[in-house]
Order: sequence, then C-alpha cells, then structure tokens
Amino acid sequence: MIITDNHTTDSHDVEHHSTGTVILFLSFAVLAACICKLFLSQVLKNKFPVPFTVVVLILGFIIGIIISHIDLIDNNFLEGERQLKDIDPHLLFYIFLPLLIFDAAFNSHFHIIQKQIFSGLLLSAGLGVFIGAPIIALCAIYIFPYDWSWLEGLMFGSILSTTDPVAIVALLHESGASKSLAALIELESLLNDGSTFVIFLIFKDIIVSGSNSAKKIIVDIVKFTLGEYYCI
Amino acid sequence: MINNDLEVEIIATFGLAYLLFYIADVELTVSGVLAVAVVGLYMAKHKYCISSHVQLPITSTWRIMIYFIKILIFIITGIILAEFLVGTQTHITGRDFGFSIVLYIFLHLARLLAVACLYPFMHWSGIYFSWKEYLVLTWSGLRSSMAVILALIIKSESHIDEITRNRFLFHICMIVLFTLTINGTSSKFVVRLLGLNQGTPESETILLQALEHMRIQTSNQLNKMKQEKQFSDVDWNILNEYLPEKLVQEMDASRKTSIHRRLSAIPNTTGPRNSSVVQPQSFPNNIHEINSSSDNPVTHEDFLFPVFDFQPEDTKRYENMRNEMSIRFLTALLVDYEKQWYLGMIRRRTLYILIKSVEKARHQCSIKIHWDSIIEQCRLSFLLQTFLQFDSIDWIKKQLNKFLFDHIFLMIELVLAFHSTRDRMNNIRIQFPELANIDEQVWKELSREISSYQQIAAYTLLDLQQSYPICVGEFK
Repeated sequence: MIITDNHTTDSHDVEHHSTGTVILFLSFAVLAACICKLFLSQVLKNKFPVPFTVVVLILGFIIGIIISHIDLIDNNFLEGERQLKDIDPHLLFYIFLPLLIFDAAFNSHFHIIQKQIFSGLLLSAGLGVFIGAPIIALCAIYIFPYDWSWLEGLMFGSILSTTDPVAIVALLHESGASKSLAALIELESLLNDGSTFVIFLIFKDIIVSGSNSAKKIIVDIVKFTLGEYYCI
Repeated sequence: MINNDLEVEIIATFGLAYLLFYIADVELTVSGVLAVAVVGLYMAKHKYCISSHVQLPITSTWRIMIYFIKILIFIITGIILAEFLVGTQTHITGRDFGFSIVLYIFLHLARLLAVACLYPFMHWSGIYFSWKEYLVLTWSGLRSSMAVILALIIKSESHIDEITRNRFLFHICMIVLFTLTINGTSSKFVVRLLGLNQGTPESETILLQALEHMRIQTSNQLNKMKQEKQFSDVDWNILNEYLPEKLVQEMDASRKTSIHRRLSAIPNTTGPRNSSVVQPQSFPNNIHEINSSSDNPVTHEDFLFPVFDFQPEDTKRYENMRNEMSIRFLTALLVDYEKQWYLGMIRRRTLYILIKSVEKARHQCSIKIHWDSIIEQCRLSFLLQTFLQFDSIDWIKKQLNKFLFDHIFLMIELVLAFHSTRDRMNNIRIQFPELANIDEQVWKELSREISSYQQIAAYTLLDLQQSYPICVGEFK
C-alpha cells in the first residue's frame, strides 16, 4: 500500500502547463464558485433550489462568453482561460473519473445495497442501457434532421444513459423514507457508469477507427463483458 | 500493520483508486471504471479496514475532493460550451433548442419503459415497490459529470466531423442542464407530492416522541442556565433562534410537514416536571461501568405519562410498533458495537461478525435472530471438529490448541459484547422515558426478551470462566 503513495498527485496539479496562467484562472474560478455557493446559502437562504453544479456550469458559461468578447492579447488571465479551453478531455477523464467512481462506490451504504444488487444490475447494465440507449438513438436518428448513422446514434444514446444520483438520493436519505429505493438509485448510477462506458468505448472505437466488422464488435463486447462479470 | 496513521491511510485510498484504474484499463484491458467501482464496493463492505480514528477524516477528505473535482469539471464544461456557442453559431440554431426539449421528453419515456420492463424482474427477485416509488425511480434519471466528460472526449476526436461533434456536445450539455435543473429541483416536490417523505405512522410516532424528549431536555437546561449568574447577560431571544423548537419549525417549512404542529399538540408538561427529572447519565463506555450501572433500579415510572391512547388489541399496529422498536434498538446496538471497537474492546473480526448479524436481524426485525446468529458463530467449525479426531499427532494438536484458544477468545468477545444489551435497554429507559411510554406492552415484551438472552449470555460467560482453567490444563 505504501508503494502506491507516489502515484497520488493532487488531482488539479497535473493540468497546469508550463506557464502558470492556468493556475491564475483556475484559482479565480474556484473562488468565484465558492462565492456563488456563499451567495446561494447566505443571501438566498437556500430558497432558490438550483443545484450547485448547475450554478457552476452557468458561471463557467458566463465567464467564457465574456472572455470571448474581449480581445486583449496580453493578459495572463485570458491566456489561462484559452489554455484551459484546449485541455485534453482524456486528461480530465483519467484524473477525475477514477476518483469520482471510487468515491461513489466507497461511500455507498453497502449493507442496504447488498440486497438490491440483482435489480440494480438489471436496471443499469441490462435494461437501462439496452433499452434506454436504443430508444434515444432512434429518437436522434429519425427525429433529428442531422442524418446521423446508427453508430453515431447509439453512441449518443450510450452517453445519455449514464445517471447521477446527486439530488434524489440525498433527499430520500434525509426524509427517512424508502432506504431501499435510495440504495437502488445509488447502485444503478454506480453500475451504469461502468456499463455505459464500455458500450460508449466500443462505438467510439468503431467510428474512429472505421472498422465495423462484426467480428471485432463481438470480440470487444465479449472481452468487456467478461471483465465486467469477472469483477462482479 | 498500518494503524491509525491518518496520512498514509487516506492517501493510500487515492493511490489505490488510480493504480487500480491504470491496471484494469491498460494492463488487463478490461473496463477500468467497473474495476474501480467493484473494488470501491468491496471496500465499502469491509469499511472497518480503515482504522477507527481515520474513519471520519477520510469521509470528509473524500467529500471535499469530490466537491472540488465537480467544480472544476463544470467550470471547464461551461467555458468550452461558451466558446463553441459563440464560435460556431452557424451550426446551432433555435431549432436545435426545440430538439433538445424533444430529446428530454424521450429520455424520460425511455426510462419509464425501462422501469416498466424491470418491474416483473424486481417483483420476482423479491423487492416490492409501490407505483409511487417507481415514479420516483423514473424521475431520478439525472445526467451529470460523467455524460459531460464523455461528450468532451467526443469533442476531441478529430475523426468525426466537426458539426456532429458540436451537436453532441450541445445536446448533452442541454440535457445535463435540463435534468439537473428540472429534475434536480422538482424531485423534492415530487417526493412530497407522492407522500414519500413520511415514514410509517409508527416511526412518525417515535420521531415525535424523540422531539418531545429533546424539547423537555432543552427547556430544563434553559431553566437551569437562567438561574446561574454567569449567563445573566445572555439574550435569550437570540438563543431561541438556535434551539430545536425553532429548527423543527424550519424543517417543517422546508419539507412542508406538520411535525411541529403535532408536537405542539402534545401537552407541554415541562414546568411541573422540572424537579423530578433525573440528570441524563452518559452511556457507560466500558464493561465495568456497564456492570455497575445495571444495578440502578429503574423507578422513573412515576413521571411517565401516556401521550397516545393506544389500543393493544390492534394487533397489526402492535406488530408494526414492535418491529419499529426492534429496528431502532438494533441500530442502537450497532452504534454500541462500533464504539466498543473504537475503544479497543473487541477486535475487527468480531465487529464484522456482530455487524453482519445485526444487519440480518434488522432486516427481519427480530432480536432473536441476532442472538441466534451469535450462538451460531460460537459453534466449532466443521474443520476444527474433524481436526479434533486427530489430536494424537503432535503438530496438529499444537495448531489445534491455537485455533481453539482463538475460538474461545472470539466467543468471549461476542458474548461479552452482547451481554451489554440489557444495560443498553435500561439506559435508554432512564435517558429517554418517552420511548418506553409509547407502547408499554411492546417495551415490556422487548425487555423481557432481551433480559432472557442476557441471562443466557451471562450463564455462558460464567460457564466459560469456570471451564477455562480446565481447558488450559487440557491444552497443556
């Protein structure tokens, strides 16, 4: 266990490039988010029921809009924003995702979840993904006038199959009713992240590499699901 | 190996998450996400592998970390969204907003269909939800950071043409916004509308009693403080803002419940009772204290008063009440066991056995199951029994003795831990007489049941004590 210590870098350290301008921007953004949070809780007394993440998203959006209308070149702050904009999402993915997933699993109430594991699996891996994703794909292909292919539609569907239990689980826990329902929602989103990601990767690989031979798809699915069932 | 080492244990969990993700994703080419999720669940099951003094810090560290990560993800997403909305206005038109709304509706239809398909399977696997709960399940499909990250990955793939990438990002961000704002904020109202924010009548009753108890204790404390000199400058009105009474009102307002009104309906009898209320005893922390405190006679019935007029012949209600009480009592036991582990009175292994047994008992609302499973653990395992046959071989005998001692040790710990239950019960009665008052009959029956188990436990301990010298002589 001690050997792993040097793997832990502060998750926000890695994306800082050689110039420190990103740090300037990020520190400003995080402090601004804190002020937003203070404003929500102190001034509005939590009466304005928008989740904090939405507020942060809108904050980022507004900053982005404002900055795109300013054409100063020689400014560290703007420079930081531009660098952050071009950040590689894979980096985000590898830095943040393991922590997000591990936290969701580690802080779940295992003894309540245990009884739900079967239906949770069904809801997420089975029905949620295999029913949810195709329906969204159908909607995207036939209703949207974008001429998306099946693969693109399914990829779109698989992205939208992930769920997040943020608000509802907290609410159900606090109201003291239906612990099993809260556990099921929690478990669903936890397992969903995994299975959705597998399907997403398969479609993405096919689209990007252009190989759509049936053999490769089957091999991929078998490999990933084997890994999944082995794990569970 | 590592014990109560704050930094090492917390950092090791972070390192573990990353290392695991890397190994699964790159070396084994299985889904890293799934691997991390499964190991996280495994660690949640063996929660007590984290030492006792690190349990709280580790929870807060993770919470802050995740909060920070969420801020970063959403800020970055917001910036990227802004950039491409300004930069590529030609691709996204007003029509696309309309499509986003259509997509949002379809998303819920799909989820409803999935839940409907799931229904027979869930029924079959023995989980029964009401239609209201299924509705909440449908409404709870929020999309959040994960979908955004995946959309960003698509955005960076240069093989897909740019318009499609932008449309992906746009629609997914819109859906995230919609679900987080609409579903996230309205779920509170949905839950309230469906009446799921209230427990069963029995648990409500107990909650009401607990609040009543709190009020009495607070007013006693206040009265005492008002008489003391050093508090003479206190502005009591300001203090009242922070007292449970006010907090209950606020909770009512935010959850649209009527707990405070019902609480006020209970006759406020704090005034005349001031003189007779005993000081709450703190819960004894070790066995010796427990043993001494158990001698206290429980004679507080003179100031107990019936709040609700229950009809004992209503058997179903009685049954529910009994289950509710059992569950609450078992939960109290769980906390006790954890405390005993925290104080180093029982080992981690014993704690696991106890917790597993309590969870099982809590699921079936019966204290009997708890005691039975403890007894089950005390039996010699099959392996040990077979080994007993071969005790003529010297090496086996030596190993066997080690195991047997270990087993006796475990047995003593288990029974000793359980032994404190009756004192726990009496303590609850002293500290919290209102609970016993809710239903005298249930309480009596429960305490009788627990007394009998405690008696058995005491005999078992006595037995062990007397036979221990014989055992030692035998092993030598």
